[in-house]
Amino acid sequence: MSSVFQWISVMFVPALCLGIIGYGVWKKAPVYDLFIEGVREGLEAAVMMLPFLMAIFLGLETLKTSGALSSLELLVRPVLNAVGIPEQLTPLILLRPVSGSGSLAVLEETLKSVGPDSFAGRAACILSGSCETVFYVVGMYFSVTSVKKVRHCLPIGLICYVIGVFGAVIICKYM
Amino acid sequence: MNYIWAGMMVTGILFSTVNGTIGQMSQSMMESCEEAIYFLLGMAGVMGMWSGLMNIAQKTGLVHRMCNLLRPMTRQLFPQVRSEETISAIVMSFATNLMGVGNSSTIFALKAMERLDEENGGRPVASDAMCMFLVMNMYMVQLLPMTVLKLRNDAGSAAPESIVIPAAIVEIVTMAAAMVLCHICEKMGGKERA
Repeated sequence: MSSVFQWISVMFVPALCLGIIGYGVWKKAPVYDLFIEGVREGLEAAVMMLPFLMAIFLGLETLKTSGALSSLELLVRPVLNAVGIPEQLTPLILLRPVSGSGSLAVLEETLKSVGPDSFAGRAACILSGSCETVFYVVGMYFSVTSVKKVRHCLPIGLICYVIGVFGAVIICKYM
Repeated sequence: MNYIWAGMMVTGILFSTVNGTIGQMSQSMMESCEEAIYFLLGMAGVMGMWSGLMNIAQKTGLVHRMCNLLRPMTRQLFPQVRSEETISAIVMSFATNLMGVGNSSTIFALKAMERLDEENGGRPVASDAMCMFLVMNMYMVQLLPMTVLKLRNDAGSAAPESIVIPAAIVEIVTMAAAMVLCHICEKMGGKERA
């Protein structure tokens, strides 16, 4: 099953490239010129994005280094324990909403300390897939728009985050 | 956005004075700015490639065909979105996300958000379509979590792939929850659309 997934994932980008360029050639379009034109637009857009990116990175990094998360950890740990979530997952659960790369580093450490096939280790892996970098995504996506009120995006992101945490732990108990 | 950003900065700085981490603060702030540039450099390459390819697809009419094909689905999810360029960015973002090509997905997502913003007339309140797109893309199922599998392998797991199926199940659940919640909020938040 997962080898089928793997095959699809590996094939996706090359196949798409082939499809698009093949279609272009078949339609006798100037594919090379169109490609160059598109790249130029893309690079321009990338430069336009830089200020927003900078703001988001700065904000998230400030939160991370401040140690606000580790203070929160002390607060949250007993609560998580009470509802049956292994406490080794606490750092991961708290860091994940703010930082994708940071939470991967934490996942690596967690796997080393609890073992990848243990209950907590498996739950940590699933959690990394099912829980998303909510603040990062909301901040980054809206940064390129003129939107000031994000409405229900943030609450839904956080509610689903909690569902994702519980889902990961519950499914590890049964599968 | 203003509040979220200010909130992050202020909480961070205040907490660091309490926790005694203020010493590292100025350095890590500078580093994060540097990191943003590196991140963008990496992104810019991928962004250029995709935008080049998509330009071919668009000018040759391939995008038009794809949109016609997917219209029934996108009309359900994003009833107000008409523009083909927007729909293609949305669809490409979902597809790359599903395949686990994270960076590419972000690029299409940002493109889609820009387009949706334009359709929203640059208003300061997020449109229904923006919210639906964001929560769906955020909780999009990923067929094969490559990075996690690699980490499991490195940590000496006996069966690295054993988490693929359970993870997919949980992801489907969270995604469904996200869509349903979003739909409910759309129905309730009618007055905010003004």
